[in-house]
Formats: sequence, structure tokens, C-alpha cells
Amino acid sequence: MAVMSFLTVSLLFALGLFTVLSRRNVFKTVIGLTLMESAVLLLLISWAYIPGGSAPILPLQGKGVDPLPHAFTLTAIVIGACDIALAFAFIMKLNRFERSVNVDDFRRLKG
Amino acid sequence: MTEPFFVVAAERVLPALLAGALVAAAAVYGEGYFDAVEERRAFRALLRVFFFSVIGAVFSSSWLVFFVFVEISTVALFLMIAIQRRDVAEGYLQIQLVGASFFLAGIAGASIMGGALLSSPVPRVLLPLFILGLGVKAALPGLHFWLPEVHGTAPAPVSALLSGFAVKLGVFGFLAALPSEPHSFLLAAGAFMALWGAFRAALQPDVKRLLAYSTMSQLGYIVAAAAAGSQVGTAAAIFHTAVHGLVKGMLFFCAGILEKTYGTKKFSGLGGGAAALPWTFFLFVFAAASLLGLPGTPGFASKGLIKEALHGFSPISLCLLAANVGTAVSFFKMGAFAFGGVQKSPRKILQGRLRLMNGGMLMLVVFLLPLGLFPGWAPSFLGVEGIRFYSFAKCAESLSVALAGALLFAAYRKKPGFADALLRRIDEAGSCFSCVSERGGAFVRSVQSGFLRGYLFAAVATALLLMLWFSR
Amino acid sequence: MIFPNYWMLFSILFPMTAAFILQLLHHFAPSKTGGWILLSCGITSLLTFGAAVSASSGVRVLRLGGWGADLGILLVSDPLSAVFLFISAFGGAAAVWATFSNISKSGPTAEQWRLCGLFFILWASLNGILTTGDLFNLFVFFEILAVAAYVLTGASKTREALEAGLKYLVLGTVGALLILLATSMLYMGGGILNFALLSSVVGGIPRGALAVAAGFMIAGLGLKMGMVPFHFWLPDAHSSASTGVSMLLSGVVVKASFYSLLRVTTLLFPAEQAGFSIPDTLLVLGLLSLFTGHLSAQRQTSIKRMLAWSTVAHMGYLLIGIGCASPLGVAGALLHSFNHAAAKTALFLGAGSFSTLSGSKEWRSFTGLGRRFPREGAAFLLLAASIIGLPPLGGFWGKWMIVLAAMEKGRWMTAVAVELGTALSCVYYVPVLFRLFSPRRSEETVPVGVFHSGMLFFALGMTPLLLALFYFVPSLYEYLIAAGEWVVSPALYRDAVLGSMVP
Repeated sequence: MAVMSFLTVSLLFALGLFTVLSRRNVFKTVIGLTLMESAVLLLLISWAYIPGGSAPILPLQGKGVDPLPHAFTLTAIVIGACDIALAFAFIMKLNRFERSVNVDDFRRLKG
Repeated sequence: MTEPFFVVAAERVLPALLAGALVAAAAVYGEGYFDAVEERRAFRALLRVFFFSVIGAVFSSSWLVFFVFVEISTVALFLMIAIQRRDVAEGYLQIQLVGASFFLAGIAGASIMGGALLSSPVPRVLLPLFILGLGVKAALPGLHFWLPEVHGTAPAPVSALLSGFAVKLGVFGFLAALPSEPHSFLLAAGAFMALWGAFRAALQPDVKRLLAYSTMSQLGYIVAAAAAGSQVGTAAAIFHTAVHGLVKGMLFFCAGILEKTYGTKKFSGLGGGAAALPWTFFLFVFAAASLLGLPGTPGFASKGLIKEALHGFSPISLCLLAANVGTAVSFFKMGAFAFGGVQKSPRKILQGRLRLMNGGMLMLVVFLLPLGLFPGWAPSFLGVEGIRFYSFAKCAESLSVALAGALLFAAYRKKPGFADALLRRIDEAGSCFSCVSERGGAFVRSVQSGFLRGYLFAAVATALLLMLWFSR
Repeated sequence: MIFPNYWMLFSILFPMTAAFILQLLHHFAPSKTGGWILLSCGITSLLTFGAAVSASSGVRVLRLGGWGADLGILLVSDPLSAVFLFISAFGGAAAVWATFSNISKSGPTAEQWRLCGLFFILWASLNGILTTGDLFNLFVFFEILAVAAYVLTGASKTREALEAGLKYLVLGTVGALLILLATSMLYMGGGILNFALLSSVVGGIPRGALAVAAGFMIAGLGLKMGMVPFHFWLPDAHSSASTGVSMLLSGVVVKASFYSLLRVTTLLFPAEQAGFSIPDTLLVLGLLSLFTGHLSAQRQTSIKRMLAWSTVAHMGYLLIGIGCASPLGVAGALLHSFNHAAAKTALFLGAGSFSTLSGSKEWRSFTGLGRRFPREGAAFLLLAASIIGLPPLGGFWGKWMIVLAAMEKGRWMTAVAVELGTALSCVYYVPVLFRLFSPRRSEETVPVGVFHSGMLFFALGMTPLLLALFYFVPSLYEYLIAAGEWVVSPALYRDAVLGSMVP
């Protein structure tokens, strides 16, 4: 069971990394970042699982799964969403200047 | 940190007096030398900073204090050179700071291992760092490539300070760092420097570069004396430092006057100075005789003391003797080309300025005369008694060396620049600092390509490498 | 000191609330906002300074909500964080002052009021990073800081700023991701996220997991800090931002990231338990940063880009300092971070003001400006000399302590490399200084306007002289060594924090 979740997480992370590194569209870069982040959060959540556990909400029915990773993940999702929104804002503003969403075109600052 | 910063001892007072004499003479000379008012003002201000920093360096008690004051003096000299030549000044500062890197590492090691005070020799394992670091200042062979360029193109009074005092700070460092036994590497280096400097000097087409190489040669004498490890050697090194500093100061002042009169430093443009600049010629003769070590001059006394110190090392003494011949050749060359020969067209310098410049030279003579007339005074001040300076053999030796030099010069005077290009390339082999930093900089800047995917790849790849590195 | 534990709480809370209140204030009383911004700046600076002073005399622990270390979040500050809190207090105040001090009677410009909240949010999160005792909290504050920093970088909305902001965002998000991954691994191994408790259970975490966590944590924090090879965003972001933002980013934010690197690596990955040596790795990365930064700064035509590359190099010095793994090395790194923060903040202010005066960011256009404004020119000269590392000015002493620490471990090549940085930095600072003080009257630039925040710049310019007296103040030296002790032996921190848990 743990092996399955680790494999899923690794696959997702690798997909995200591949997207970020090989795609030229900057929107896809951002999507790749989201994929990587989701992979890490999935790792955390899957670690929190206790077999037979229920949602960690009071009043508990039986054993609750570990609540701290859930809290951490919620926070991280919010932060991720904020980052993505900001990224899109930057891209849209840059697009007005550069007329392009190709990451390789954003090369005014070098050296 | 609560130890006293400064220490007063006999072997430090003499260099301090030298510094005072040079600064005072340079102040007078500089009033006449610099054309523009701002240049003169800047020079005066920087002279004061230089003076205080070298006094601090000479009397310092610990290596760290010495280092701080030497750095301040380097910055002062850098600014003084920059009054006229910014590119040369920047190069000088960079090279001195590279040397300071090795020096500071050595000082840090000494502070940790317990040799932090100047009075005790440095732990042996750290000596290479000290030699590298101080060697840049003292122009050891291999580290000397900056000296001809900087001393040869700086304004004349600044060259006088550089050759007269700044390079000697490196030697003071050697004197403090070396244990009291002969150091064979430095002995050999000193002999090599003396020979290389003297013969390269004779081949220079330019009066200030000739003097710069001559400085390297005389530094070789001083380094060899210091490396002898005995008290006589230390006294000889300091004595010759003082004499050479004063004499080289006079010679650089003289070169500056020639430069202002004839508008060029090259020998091809100089001539007939004896008639146009009589006082300068007279002072030049005195200085050159002193550097050659003719009997009766202070140079005779100091070179005699050096020979005493190197008594047991005959190959080194022979090298120094040969170097003396080379020195004789170069100064006969300078005298003949600059002051003798056909009169080239001199410019008219204002009489007042010329008087100031000659006055500067004269001030140094005032300090030199007692050292020559009472040759035993300086060594006894430094704790070495009972040297017989005047004997028939010694006088005959110095006169015959001078004669040999004159004959050599007369024989080869038609060929001033022998194999200059090849020798210059050998000399400048060490000056790779700026080109290394240029190439390195160009490479690193090309890595910052603006290519976001490249940045991401580098970051993630390094993260994975770190992870693998830690889990091995 | 009264309420010694609460200063750090208010140094986070106050600017956070002030950010939002100031934004609202603009709607209701635009003309008064300027004064209130400066007042809030002063109060925040005072609170942070108070937190620093209270921390410098011992460990201060605050249990938020009364929850213990295993359940709740602790705010912890000790003599190490005190140094960085001082930097935050002064650097933040200087930056906010530089941006907001010239507010006219009619109120802040649109640019200014939009940014004022973000400055305070950044400052609050900075103080949060410096005083947190918990990994989760560290991550959250890092992200708040990051978002504020991204927006502030791109705030001027020029092409360069937007591109720089986007690159900073992407690389910073990858950094956050790596920190998140490392935190997850540490949680999975240790079951707890509090620094003190985690450092006591870290021995039980399997070595492989610890290695992965360490690798990713260093990479993540390195991305936030500008360690080579994670530094690519730094020259772009620090040079394209406006003056006040650059001052904050280069002077204070990278130091906070350095602080958290220091804390996390020494508490959570100590060499005995981990079996691998982090200081050695940091030494190598530090040397790499040093040379990359100094070599790249040459031949830069834009003064701000040059200063940004110089920041990369000086982060290298800090890494070399902790790479020597001794209290002396850490003390040298701390002194150097203080020197660098003071000097770089001021240099960016000077660069920004000279750029406004000459109308261009190229330093070749600054001809003769140092003579026109002699006080500010002298201050710039002192600051540049201090950053180059010329004795006896302040910047030299941090390097001296790092060189001492390196030689103590027998690493003479590192010691030589540290001082070689001085020679390398001369190559690019000296032409700028020559240009500022150039006597060529014919090429002199005609300045437009007055020197912005001249008095502040002059005051900051005197810090190298003050720090030159460091040699004569042995108590400061001992304090830094003591702070270094806190770093090198994590047991001190652990015992102090857990010891204060006993009710």
C-alpha cells in the first residue's frame, strides 16, 4: 500500500519535472510546478493514513488519521494557489510587452 | 587584543627615519613636479596618509597591525599612482591584494599557532605563505612582473616612494618572519634577483624602467642579506635598505626632471643634460656613485656590510659581484645617454619648479652624507660592531667593478635593446591575474544566459546531486 | 527587560496588522497616510530592536496559545537570532524610510500606497522567520515573504521587472517545493515538526531519509538565499526592483534565508548523528558562490546588477564561515552578515539615488557626481571600501575572523580564496569610484533633482567607520563567539527550549 503511494508520488513528481523542463509554453511551466507540488502534498497525505482510520474531525469515530499533515497540506495548497495566481498575473503582464508565452523569449536579462 | 600595538626598537627607527626623509623630500619635489594644482593638492594629502601608515607599519608589534597599516599604505600609493595613470594604478592594487591574500592566510595561521607578534619568527610550516605574500611586495623572481611596469610608469615622486620604501616593507616582513638561520631558497632567490635585475636594467630603452630593474637588483642584495639569518645579515639588510631608499629616491627624482625637461623617458629622446641641468647632473653623479658602491659613498659601506654577512656563502657573493658589474653598466648607460652626448632640445621649465625638484634631491643628500662619512654609525646603531669598512682589497674591488662596467658599456653601447621582446615575455609570465579573471568572468557570465529552463535544470540537478552525495 | 518574551510576537503581529490598516487608511485619509506609514515603520523597527535586545541576553521562548512544544507553535529567539533581528530592525527601517520618506502633502503616489502594505507584510514575515521554532511555521513565513518579495520585485512593471519577478517566482516556488519535500521527509521520519523536539529525535531517523531531507532542504533554502548554483534569479530580481525593494532584498531577506539555513542544518542534521558532513558541502558551495559572484560582477554596466552579483559573492563568504564548523567561523559569518547588510543596503540606496540624479542605471553616467555631492560621495567611497574588505574598515573584520577559522581547520586554500575576493572585488568597484570622483569637468553629468535620502545615506555610510572600532570592543567579539557556540552545539538550544517547557 505504501509502495503504491510512493510510486504514484514519484511518477507525478517526475511528470511535473518533465513538464517544467521540456515545455516552452510558460503556462505549462506553471502547470508543471503545480503537479510537483501536488505530488509532494500527496506524499504527505498518504503518510498520514492509518489503516482503518477515519477523518480527524471531532467527535472521532474509531481511530483518526494523523491531522497535522492535513493541516499542513491545506496551508500548502492555499500558498500554492496564491503562487499560481501571481504567476499568471506576471505572465499576462509580460505578454503585453513580449507578445509571447514562450519561456525562451523572456531573455532580456542575461550576463 | 589588549597587547600594545606598537613597539620601538633600534631596527625599526632607521626605517622610520628613511620614511620621514623620503616623504619630506617627495613633498618638496612634488611641488615642482606636478603640473596641475589639484594634482599637487592630492599628492600632498596622500603623502600624509602614506607617511602615517608606514610609520604605523614600521613600529607595529603584531602581524595583524602590520598588515592593516601596509594595506593602508598600498591604498595610498594606489591613489598616488592614479593621479596620472589609472590603469597602472588599478593593476598595482590588484596584484598587491593578491599577495595580501597569501600574507593574511599566513598571519591567521600565525595567530592561531602562536606566532602573532612580529618579534618572534613564524612557525616553519607557514613560511611558504609568508614568502609568497611578502614576495609579491618584495618582487621575488616570479612575482616581480608588476614592478617594471608600475615603477616605470608611475609619476616620479611616487616611483621614488615605491622603490624607496614600499617594496622594503616586504623585506621587513621577511626579517620578522624568518628564523635566525640561513634560508637557502631566499638566498638563491636574492642572488637571482640581483643578477636578473642588473642585467635587465642595462638593456632597457627607458630611463625609469632601468631604475625599476635596478631596484629589483638591489632588492636581491637585501633579500640575500636578510636570508643569511645572522644579526650582521639583518643589520646589513636594514642599512642597505636605508641607503638604497635614499639613493633610488634621488635617482627617480632625477629621472622625473629629465622627463619634464625632454618630454620623454626614452633614452633615444634624451641627451646633453649635463649642460642643461648642471645641478641635477652633479646630484646624479653622487647618487650613481653611491649605488655603484665606490669608496667613500654610503653605498660602499652598506655593500661592504652585506659582503660581511654573506661571508660564508661564496657562490652568492660571486653572483652579487657580477650583479654589481651589471649595475655599473646600467648607470654608465644612464649617465652617458641622458647627460652626455648630443644636446636634444630641452624644454624650458620654470626656474622655480626646477629649483624645487633639485631641492628635493638635495634633501636626500643631506641624509646620505653622514651615512657615507661615518660608515660605522648605522651598523653600531643596529647592534653590529667592529666592521672594517676600508681596506685596500675592498676599495680595489669596488673600483675594478666600476671599471669593468664602464668597459662593458663602452664595448656594447651601440646595442641598447638586446632580445628585449623575449625577455619581456619571460618577465611578464606571472601577470596572469587579470586575464584569468577576465576569462573566468566571461565564462560565468555566459552561464547566466537568461534561459529559465536552464536555471531550473541546474537547480533541480544540484538538488538531486546533493541528495545523492549525502546518502552515499 | 519588561515582557522579554513578547517583543518577538509583536514584531510579527504589528507590521502584519499595520499593512492592512494602512491600505485602508489610504481610502479614508490619503493625506495622512504618509505620516502613518513612517510611524508604523518606526514602531516596527523599535519592536524588532526590542526583540533583538531581549534575545541577546538569553533564549526567549513564547508558547503561542499556551500549547506545548509537541502540539503548538513556539516562537524562540536566542543570541544567534538576535544578530539577524538587529539587521532586520535597521535594514527594514532604512528601506521603508527610503521609499516612503518623500511623500508630499497631497498623499502618497499611487505607486507608493499600493506597495506600503507589502513592505510591512514582508517585514512581518521576515521577523517570523527569524523567531520561529517550528518547521511548518518556517515554511509558511517563507512563503509569505516570497509572495511579498515577488510582487515587490515586479511592482515597477517594466519589462525587466516583470521578467525578473517571473523568474524569481518560478525558482522560488521550486525552492518552496523542495523545502516542503524535506519537511515531509522529516515529519515522516520524526513525527514532530518543532525544532527542539525534532532535533532530539533526529538520531532515530533512518540515515537515507535524513540524507534526502538534508539534500532537499539545503537546495530549497539555497534557492531562497542565492547560493550558487541556485542563484540565477538573484541578479535579475535585485537589479530590476526599485531602490527600497533592492535594499530590503539584498540587505535583509537573503540574510534571513541564511539564518534559517544555519538553524535547520545545525539543529536537524548534526554531523554525529547524520553521518555526513554538511559544513564541508557548504564550504564548497560557498567557494563556488564567492568566485561566481565576484567574477560575474566585472564588466557589468548597470550598477545595480553589479551590486546584486556582489551579494551572491558575499553570501559565499557567509557559507564559508559556517563551513568551517567552529564558533569562530560562525562568529565571522555573523559579523560579516551584519557588515554586509549595513553596507549593501546603503550601497543600493546610493546607487538608486545616483541613478535618479543621472537619469540612467549605468554607472558610466555617474561622472563627477561624487564631487557634486561630496558628503554622499564620501559615504559611497567608505561603503565600497568596506565591502571590498580594506582594513581597517568594518568589512575587513568579518573576513579576518573567517580566515582565522579556516586556518584553524588547516584549510589554507580557503583562507587565501576568502581574501582573494578582496582583490577580485577591487576590479569592479574601483572603476565606479573613479567615475564618481572623475575630475574631467567636460564630461560631468548634470544632476536632475536632489540626492534622495541624503542624510540617511550619509548616516549609513558612517557604519564602516563605526565597525572599524570592532577591534577595540572585546565584548562584541565574545558575544559573537558565544552566538557561534549556540550554533555549533545544538544541545544548548534544545535544552534551553525544552527546559522552559516545564511549567
